[in-house]
Amino acid sequence: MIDNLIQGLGILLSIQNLLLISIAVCIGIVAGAIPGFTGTNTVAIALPFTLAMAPETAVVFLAAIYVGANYGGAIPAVLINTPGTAGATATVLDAYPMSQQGKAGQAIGISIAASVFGGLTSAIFLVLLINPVAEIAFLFGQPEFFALSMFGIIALASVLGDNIAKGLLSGLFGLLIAAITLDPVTGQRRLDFGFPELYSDLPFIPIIVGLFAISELLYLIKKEKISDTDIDVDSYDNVFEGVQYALKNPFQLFRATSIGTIIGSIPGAGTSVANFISWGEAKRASDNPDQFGKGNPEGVIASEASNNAVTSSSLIPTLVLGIPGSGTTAVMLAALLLHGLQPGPQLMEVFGAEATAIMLSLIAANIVLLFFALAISRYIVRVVLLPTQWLVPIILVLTVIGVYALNSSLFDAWFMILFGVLGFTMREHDYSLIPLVLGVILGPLAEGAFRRSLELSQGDPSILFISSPITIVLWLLALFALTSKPLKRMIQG
Amino acid sequence: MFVLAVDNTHTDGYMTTKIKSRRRFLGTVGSASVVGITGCLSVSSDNSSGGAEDYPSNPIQTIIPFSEGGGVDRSVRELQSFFEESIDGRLRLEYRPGGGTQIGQQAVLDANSDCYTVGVASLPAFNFTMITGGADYELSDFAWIGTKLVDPGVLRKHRDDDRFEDITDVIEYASENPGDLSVSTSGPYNQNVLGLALLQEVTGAEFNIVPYDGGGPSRNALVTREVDLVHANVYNSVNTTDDTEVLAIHAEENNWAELTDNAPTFSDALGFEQEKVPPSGPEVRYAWYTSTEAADEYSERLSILRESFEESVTSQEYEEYLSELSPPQERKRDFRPPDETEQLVQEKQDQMESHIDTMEEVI
Repeated sequence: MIDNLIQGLGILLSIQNLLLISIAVCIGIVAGAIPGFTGTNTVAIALPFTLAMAPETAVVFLAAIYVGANYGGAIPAVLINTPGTAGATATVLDAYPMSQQGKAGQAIGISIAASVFGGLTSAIFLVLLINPVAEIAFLFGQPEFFALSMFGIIALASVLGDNIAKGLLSGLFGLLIAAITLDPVTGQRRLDFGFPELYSDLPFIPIIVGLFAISELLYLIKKEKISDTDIDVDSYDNVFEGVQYALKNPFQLFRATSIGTIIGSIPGAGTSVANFISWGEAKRASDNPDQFGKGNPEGVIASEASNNAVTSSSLIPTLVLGIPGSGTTAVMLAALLLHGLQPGPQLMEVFGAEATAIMLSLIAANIVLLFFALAISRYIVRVVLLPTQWLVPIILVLTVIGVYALNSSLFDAWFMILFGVLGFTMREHDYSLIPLVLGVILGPLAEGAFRRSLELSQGDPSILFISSPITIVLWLLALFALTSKPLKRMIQG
Repeated sequence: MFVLAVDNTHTDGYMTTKIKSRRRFLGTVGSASVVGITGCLSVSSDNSSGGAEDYPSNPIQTIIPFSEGGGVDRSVRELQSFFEESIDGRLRLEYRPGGGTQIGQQAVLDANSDCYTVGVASLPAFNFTMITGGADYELSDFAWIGTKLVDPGVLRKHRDDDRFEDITDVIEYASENPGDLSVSTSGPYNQNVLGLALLQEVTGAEFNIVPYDGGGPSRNALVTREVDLVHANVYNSVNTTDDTEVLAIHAEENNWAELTDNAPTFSDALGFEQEKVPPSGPEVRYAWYTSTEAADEYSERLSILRESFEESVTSQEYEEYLSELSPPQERKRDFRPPDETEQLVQEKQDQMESHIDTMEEVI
């Protein structure tokens, strides 16, 4: 581990990488501040442009964007009552009322301090825990991978939105798309419509960029500008008061960070779940729960520290199991594979230095975030006033060039557009895209694991459910995820 | 991501101990990729130079049919500087993964670029694109430059598995208990499946063959003892040496003794004639080529390519470089000139075609 740390530091502490982290954090803050433009979208757009980078630099760059975007989401949450990212949704509940009370600067300060604390602490945990967790990952065989894949899709489908059926349909559609390629066991061709590009591997990056970035652009075309709300820039004072307030509440910070770290390490959960659970827990434990939602600074701490803690911990399942912890880490998983880093139990053994560099970069990104967030937040918010007739074509051109450059393939560019239209249509009808993406990613893994499990058991299906304590626990968790919401509704009448 | 017919992590076995080499490799990825992108977006090479006297006046586009970081990529990068020195030009690496290597192969043929585009074929994945992949090209479309690498097939067991002392124990058990021993392979149609299928035919043993999604997962399945055995290749499985040991090797004689626990050859240990399970079946080879169309029109350029390839692969410097890797890799170098390469590819094609039914039966 010490060797990996030293080598990881060696990779990280190059001027090039530190500069890239700074640039990436700024890009992330700007993109995160655009309402609806999530960390996932931003990382997806940036992904093809990392082709020119060394593998670990590429992932470091994307991770730093992720960190920046998660904080950036808080800026419009404070100032215009709109979360920039899904992870900042709970931030709105208290940050905007604070803004209305003339405490916008303080709310921004709290969100900066909480984001940095959550992200930094969780990144340190990640560095310390990755090796023990990787050991546990060795316990995962084919039945465990199948159960984990199913749990990931079911858990995500259940927590996103109110309609579990729509979430599950989205996930199943993703699994169906994943079935386009060769049969993993017999090698038979299927569903590729004669396109050699679809023969053995799906063009995964065009799918992701299409679903997230192109669909968002189509969505933006409908609007003249991103936000019509006026911004009271004058209220942007007292930022340091906010920072001080957050630091004087270490217990709140720790609680939110712990919740974010734990939830992030569960495949499929992500920031949008963590910030609400953390906010709800802070409210439950508070002496003044009635004040939550009315401008309570503790609510901002709870949401912001937890969502940035997720950025680091969601890399745990991504790196050691190859199962993404969130939509954004799903894109980062694609980046790892694109650059030849094979996630899985052997990652720390084979790519120990690179994986450690990625984790250490999260610490660096959070430190960089502290300075840049304090310096540029008040200007960044003007992004939301950009006219879409400028923003959309610029991003569209960059996206098409980026995806084309991956394989010099127009097929990829058209495939991206196709999935952009699909993503837009799904969003218009309130279908979450995340289960679909997870289905596409996990499809080959799940199908392969399912088929190989049956091969290993010579056809006995019980191997999928009761072959080990891990499979039993995962299926019970999946059952819980599937039934908890309807049961709660039933109990509440 | 699914990988058909080939273990594209072919030489990752030595990565754990080869940090220095990896650093160097990683360092070159960025710059090479920048060049790659620039190349994608730029206009095609200037081929107006005509004759061979100024060839190569532009970078030679080298299409790798896998993603960055795989075995073929590393093999090309290992040779790159030696080849560039020899030909007094530059290689511009480009990655066209997908289609079980079909996308990359087709790209070389489509380029028709006056010998300014070359490709690397990983055998037998290359052959399977024409057998099971439905590729539009045929063997006569390829003009061979030479072969540079061989990686023989091996069967490994876990070191903690004390049921079997040697390969005879394994075969005996698998004959008496058909389907009881599970063996992982790196995919459904490949050299590993062929090796096992032929072994079953000649010995009467019956394994439960479980194709995995690539070489890494198939070897990992043995490390975690999910399966009883793995059929892999020498160099691509060398990183599992701490946990696993080689029972036997597909080779005329074991020239890789130090990497394979001094294991016997299959034919020696089990007493069958070598032709019944020819070592060429389960082995992997990397061969370089360009399109026949380009080669016919620019035969002098093809000659330069071939001479430079031979000079660099057989050079003392390249051998020294390979021997300095950890573990030493010089024995994977196996230069074959163009005519031998063509023959080898044809033999491989015939071999795979004639055994496709056998493979289908066992998976």
